[in-house]
Amino acid sequence: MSLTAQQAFKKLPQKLQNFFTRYPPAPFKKYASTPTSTTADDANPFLPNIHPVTNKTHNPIYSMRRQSDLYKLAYKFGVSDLLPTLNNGKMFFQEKYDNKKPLRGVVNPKGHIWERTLEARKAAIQEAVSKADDILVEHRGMKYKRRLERRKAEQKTWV
Amino acid sequence: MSRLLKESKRYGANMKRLHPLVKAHFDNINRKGQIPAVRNDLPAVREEKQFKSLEDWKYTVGDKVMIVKGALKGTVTSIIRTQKETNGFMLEDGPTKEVVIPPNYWLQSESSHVVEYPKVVTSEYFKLVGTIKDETSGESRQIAANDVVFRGKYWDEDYKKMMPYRCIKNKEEYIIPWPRPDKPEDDKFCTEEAVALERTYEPVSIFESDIPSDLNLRDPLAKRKSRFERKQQLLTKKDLKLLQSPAMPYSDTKKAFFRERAEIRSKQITEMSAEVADFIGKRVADHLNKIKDPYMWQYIKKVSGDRKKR
Repeated sequence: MSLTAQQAFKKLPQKLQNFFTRYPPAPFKKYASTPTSTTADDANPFLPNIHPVTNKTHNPIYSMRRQSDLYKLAYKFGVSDLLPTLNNGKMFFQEKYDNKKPLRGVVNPKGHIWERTLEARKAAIQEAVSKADDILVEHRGMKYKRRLERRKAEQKTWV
Repeated sequence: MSRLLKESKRYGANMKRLHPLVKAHFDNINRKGQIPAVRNDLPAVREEKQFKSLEDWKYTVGDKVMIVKGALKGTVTSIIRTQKETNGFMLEDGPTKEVVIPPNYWLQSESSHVVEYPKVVTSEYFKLVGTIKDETSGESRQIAANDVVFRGKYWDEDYKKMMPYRCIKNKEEYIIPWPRPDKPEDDKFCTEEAVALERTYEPVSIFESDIPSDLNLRDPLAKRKSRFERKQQLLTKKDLKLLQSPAMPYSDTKKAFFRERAEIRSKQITEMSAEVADFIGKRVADHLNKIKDPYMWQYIKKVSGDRKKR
């Protein structure tokens, strides 16, 4: 069974029909994507617009919750793109999933404390091993230094 | 302090509220402080158990009784007093006790601090005595009743109230009449009974009063109006002014706001053009015709605009 345009329009929930009556979709009327004057012709009912006389920001005519309700309903009937721009760049379903900001901890895991200090500790150990003879000489005196030199001189060069 | 508050004993010790054991303790202290003459011979009775009506008491002051217990057994005497607190009786020639009373309580005739004082007794201590007349011989004799019961009521002219007939239990044909009360002596300022009872006004109709409606018995120079008059007061100009809400003029800002709101409302689109409906309809039809999922169709049917409302 294929629906005609008239039949399909009647299937649209009353809430959406009322909205589109008051705010006709894009080719018939255009809506600003950024906040404008409340009295402007292209004033977006989803955005907090500014009153030209008082310079005060009015709350959006449709709250964030009602915007979401309308969008989700329109999405199920394939007319979500006919709605004016949503406030705060609000996204739903796949679009929301794709544009999701990854968690900081997932991108850069902190790691355990041994993982974080491993490189530094390795370097410190390497440095200490290379300086081992000097440190021993410093603490044990010249006699030990001479012994080391003698051992080096008496070292067998053959096997 | 209001009467009710005073009776409730909100501020101060209320003996009624105390625990029975605590109350007994305080009663004991009180008893020790009393002089022996004032002490009760019988234990005090709780208020709810105290006799109130004639039917409770059964015997009253002036009744002839016969003592059935103790050394005075068989004596015929009469009741001189009743004691409410103990449900007890004092008899004229009944048992007495020697009590010592301080000189400031002495009567004029007394010369000793030791006085014979009547003891309070319960109703088990005596039996009620009545007189019956033998119709054949015409002799009258006294009988003592073990107990009495009450059957029916009559108007007693001396007591000026309805009194129960006092019959001997199980022999109800014998009625022991109530004793005659002492006649009240009239003061010299008293109104005579005949004058007081004389009827001077008789209403003609219960619907229409003979008393004129505008009759005012109050002093016309009285400062304050009576509370009945105050209730019927009419609204004054001051009252009306207070009751009516003030009609405040709207400010220029408010007027501009109204104008703007009206303008916005006039601009609002209230009906959808066929063009727009067709445009949206096509989009919706394209989408719905692709749907194969039966559960999705179930949902669409539930929320659709052409759904029949229950």
